[in-house]
Amino acid sequence: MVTRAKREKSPERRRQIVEATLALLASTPIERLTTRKIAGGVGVSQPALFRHFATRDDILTAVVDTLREELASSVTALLDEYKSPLERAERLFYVLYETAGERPGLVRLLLADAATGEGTDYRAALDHLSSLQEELVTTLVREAQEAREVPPNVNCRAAARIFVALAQGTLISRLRYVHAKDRQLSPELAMESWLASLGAGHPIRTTRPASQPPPAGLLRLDAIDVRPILADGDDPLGQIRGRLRALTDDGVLLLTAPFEPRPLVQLLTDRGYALRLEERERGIYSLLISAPNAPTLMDLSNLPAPEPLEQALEDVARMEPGHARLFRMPQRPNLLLPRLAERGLSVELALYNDGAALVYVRRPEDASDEGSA
Amino acid sequence: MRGLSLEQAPPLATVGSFFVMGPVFALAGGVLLAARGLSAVTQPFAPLTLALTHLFTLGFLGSVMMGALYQMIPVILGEPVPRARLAHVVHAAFGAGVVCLSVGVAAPLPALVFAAIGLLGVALLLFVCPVGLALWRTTTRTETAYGMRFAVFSLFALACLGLWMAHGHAGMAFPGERVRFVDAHLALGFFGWVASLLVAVSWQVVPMFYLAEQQPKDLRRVTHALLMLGALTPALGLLGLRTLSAPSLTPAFELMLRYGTAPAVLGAFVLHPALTLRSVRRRKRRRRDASLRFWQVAMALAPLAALAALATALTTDPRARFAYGVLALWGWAGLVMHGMLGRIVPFLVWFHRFSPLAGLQPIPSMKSLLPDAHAELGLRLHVTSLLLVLGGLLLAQDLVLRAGGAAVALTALVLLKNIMRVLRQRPAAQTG
Repeated sequence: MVTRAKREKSPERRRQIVEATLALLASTPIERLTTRKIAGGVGVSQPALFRHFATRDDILTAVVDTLREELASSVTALLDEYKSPLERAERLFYVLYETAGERPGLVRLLLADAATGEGTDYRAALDHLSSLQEELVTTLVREAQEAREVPPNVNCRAAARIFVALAQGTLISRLRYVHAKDRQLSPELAMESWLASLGAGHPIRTTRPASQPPPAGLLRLDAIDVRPILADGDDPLGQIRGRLRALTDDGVLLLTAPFEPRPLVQLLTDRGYALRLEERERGIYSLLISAPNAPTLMDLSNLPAPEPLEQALEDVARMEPGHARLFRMPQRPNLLLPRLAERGLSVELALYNDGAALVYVRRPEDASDEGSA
Repeated sequence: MRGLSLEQAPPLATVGSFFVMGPVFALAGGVLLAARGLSAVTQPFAPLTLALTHLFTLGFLGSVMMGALYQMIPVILGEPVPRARLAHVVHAAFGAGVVCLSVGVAAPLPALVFAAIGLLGVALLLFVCPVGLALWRTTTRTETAYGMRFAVFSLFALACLGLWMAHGHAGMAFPGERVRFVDAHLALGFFGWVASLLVAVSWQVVPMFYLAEQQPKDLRRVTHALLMLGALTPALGLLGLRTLSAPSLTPAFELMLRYGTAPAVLGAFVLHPALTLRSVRRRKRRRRDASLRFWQVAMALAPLAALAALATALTTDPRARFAYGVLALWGWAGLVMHGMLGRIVPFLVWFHRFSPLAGLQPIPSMKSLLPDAHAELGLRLHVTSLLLVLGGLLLAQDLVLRAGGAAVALTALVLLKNIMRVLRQRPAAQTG
């Protein structure tokens, strides 16, 4: 009986292709990086390579995505270890520098993209990576303002852009002066300069200072799906922050994302939000972000009909005025909603990507339960 | 936030009246079979056989399905049925129409059949128009919605065909060659109306009631496509024969008429049962539930219906056709309807009468309104009646068949008793 050579499973082969591409990028100009070379680097034929990626640009996109995930893990760890916002920002800079040191191919990718000046298929992935860094640093600088580590007149967004440009410049400097280390810009010097400018109140803000409170929250239940935002090439973090600001102190935001938002989870945990992260469908994550006074989630979605309806009605009957409940139902509860309305309860609804429903029920302060017989 | 006003769903009494009427007609059918035995199933077009068939198809299945649509369209698709209170008129006219049709065909009494044409025509028009409008308006884009739409369209088409055919029993001319019309009518009636609706609703209620995993979307679409193809092909064959004078195409149209239901047989009796049983086997919570047992037995029997369908294609023995009819109508569809009534009626009563009081006073749980033991008795009787009727038919044993008829009547009586038991339950303040 003839035994076949063991074939690598798809995810493992994809990882090998990404690693081989990164290794090649360290020594090969991107315009000379061909799928034939990549296949050779992995030790497979070109047709075998195309079974996993349709084009060279798809491979490069996967490279950027892999780097983003690696960075996300590192960022999560540093957010866990360091508590001061400026210290976090500084450590982030070093993480970026060290990651690029381990992955010299990344710098080539950045340089090549900027130099050609033309849109590439992996451009969106690179833009996303940069904007993630920018949003994170913007948030950290703002937190530093709230902690009075940075003057209130500093423009947080501009400071973040300078940070990202400094990071890229430091990497380019290392690549350009690989044989003349004394001419390289050190990350320590870059950070010292950046922190000093922040401390001196630069760059100057021209908008409302952080000391002013954001507009009062209006919503008790909101939902945001970041997939369309990402598909447009935009970064959703700003919109997520805006939605959170619009919540009441007992509000809940349901976020749907095509990746696990670990850095966001860490940030929000530090800010006192209760979080519930789930992969409800393959590759689609739901993050339930609850403000400090939000009701606890009562998950009725794993009960057969009509038990969710039975339990929800019994529970709301016990609610005191001014109190709220948060239910998860297996689907949009068309029969429950009118029953809640006829009891004078306020109801808000949000849907998960898999059709399950979040129902936020509140008994107004001055309403009594008239019920119906 | 778009919601459903409870006033937009028909009252419990209206929907409940359809659910009560169904078993009453099944009881009548059982009594007829018990009384006449083999003489009621001599030939497919014999008067008694026609009466018996319509007692089960129109009377039992039709009543239950119409009542279910009145309730399910607002709840599942989120769209109210306009003029829902016309259901009272539909109920009265439909019930009277089925009685007139059955008696008129069996006796025979052409005047009664003539009355039935009018009554059923009015009833089905007053049903199809509002229900069809609600299905047209709904923004729900699911396979269940598509299946319901096709079912109601098929009901309209088969009603037109059936009422036209009924003229032949009302002292007027039959529209054409009987076999051709009956084949098209049966295909639309069983696969277009009954099977399409039953399968479409199963995709909603099986995951909802039993926490079973949803069937894959692409396979649901395949099932739906097979049912549509099998329901429409014979009708298109009939249309071709009636409207096109092309002798070269006649054999093709004849084939469409005779074998056109094959895709639907595959969809309804092989693919859908296999997928349903698989999804039930993988359910999250394995709770004992009598209504689920009805589903499981019905789906397990379905391939026998497919075999019977194959037999009708291979032989002219009328027993094959009768066995097919019994397995499809009383076996597959009948078991599912029976089981669902034991689930839906208690839910409706609980929701309409007891849920407004939830938390304000002690109320019974939904399951306690109809304990499983009562439903399980119904299941045992139903399966027994099915076996007896099949045995009597295939072995041409009159006594066995009459016993089967009695068992059918008893099954219907137990079902009726269970439904009435639930419908009579009211909160403490409302009794007396």
